[in-house]
Amino acid sequence: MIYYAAVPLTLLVVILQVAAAPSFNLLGVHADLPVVWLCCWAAVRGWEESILLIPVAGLGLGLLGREPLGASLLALLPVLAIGWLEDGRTGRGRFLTTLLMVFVAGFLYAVIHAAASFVGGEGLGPPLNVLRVAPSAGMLDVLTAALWFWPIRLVFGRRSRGGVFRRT
Amino acid sequence: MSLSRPLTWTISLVVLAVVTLGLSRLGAVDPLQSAAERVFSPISSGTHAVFAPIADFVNNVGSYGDLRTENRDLRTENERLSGQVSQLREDQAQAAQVSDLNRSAQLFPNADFQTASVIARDPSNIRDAVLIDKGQNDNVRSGMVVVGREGSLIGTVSKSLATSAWVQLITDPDSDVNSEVQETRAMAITTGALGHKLQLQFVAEGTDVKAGDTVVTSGLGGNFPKSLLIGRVSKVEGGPTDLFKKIQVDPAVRPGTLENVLIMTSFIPVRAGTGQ
Repeated sequence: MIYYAAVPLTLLVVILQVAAAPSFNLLGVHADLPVVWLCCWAAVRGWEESILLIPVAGLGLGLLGREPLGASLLALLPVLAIGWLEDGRTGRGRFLTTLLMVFVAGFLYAVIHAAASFVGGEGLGPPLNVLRVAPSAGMLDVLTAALWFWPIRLVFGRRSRGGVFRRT
Repeated sequence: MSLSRPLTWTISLVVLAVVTLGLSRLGAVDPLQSAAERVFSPISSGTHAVFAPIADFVNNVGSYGDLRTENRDLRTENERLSGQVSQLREDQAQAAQVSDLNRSAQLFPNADFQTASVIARDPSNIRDAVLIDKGQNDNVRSGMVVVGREGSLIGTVSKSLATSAWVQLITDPDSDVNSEVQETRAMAITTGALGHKLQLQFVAEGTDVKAGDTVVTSGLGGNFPKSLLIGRVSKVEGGPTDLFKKIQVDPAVRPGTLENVLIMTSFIPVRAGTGQ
């Protein structure tokens, strides 16, 4: 049931990303809210649930933002891979590993999004700009994730299954 | 954990992304983006309107010190610019007045003039005089005639100092000027009165003088050139049995508004020649 609630929530995050996030600037960049949301969701609920949410967020950003459709979808795909790696290796719902996952995903999102937009016909200016922005964006995503993680885990986290042993 | 399932999904989504990217490049998804824009535009606008003030606060809360400094700098800059604007307005007014005076000087092509600024006023309530910034060093002598805009008579130099001079205005109670009413050629003497006023005296009963008539210098006595504008008759009083009419005159130049004047240096009045 919660899984289905995630779809409209993802759309809401997309709208926030398009309409509100650019107003909140820090270090010259703004947070990638869909990246943070999807990473936290994958960390709390498992990577499988992000399979549907990633296209929803990616295509939503493509339709509402001023970018080639598909660029955001391509840029969000690392969330799926990183979520899968995190889920399998460190266990679900770890705060610090989620922050690390957000940083990597945020960094890759900035780079892949720029490259995909370029392929899609958007002018991007000097290529080094992307490398200058990507770490800052990743850091800001981590800060945002630090604020979002616990509420998401509290509201949407799965109850622990008694007797299940998980490798740490 | 099986690798094939996530790999399959990832590849599927990559294919989807690449296909949509290609369609986007070809412009095939433009109608779809337009439709989405139309549907979600009100929501986006509303969201932006809600979050913009919050963002403004959040973005600026960390720079309170900078904002204070900037505010102080802007206030200083504002004060400086206000001062400049005021100075420019003053310069403009001065230039306009000088231009007026130059026009006045052109009314007397054979006369020489010296332009002067009023720098002080007689603080007394019973005298009407102003101090100008030209004096003996500028060949300004006692008795010289001082005129203002449109060639109207202002007064005479009563005391010339080295770099400044006192000008007794025609509205000074001790001032008298031989004059005539331009319309009727009636001779009279214009004297100053308390409260920056003028009176026309010794106008014989039976002479047709009415409000609005123009009073100019008559040139009699040799202290003032002929036909300098003094003012206009504002009120005529006097009964059939009165020897002279009581006539009030509005001066052409209000003494309170004097800022620049012209000194007629080429006209040497009789009283200056006699040393009075």
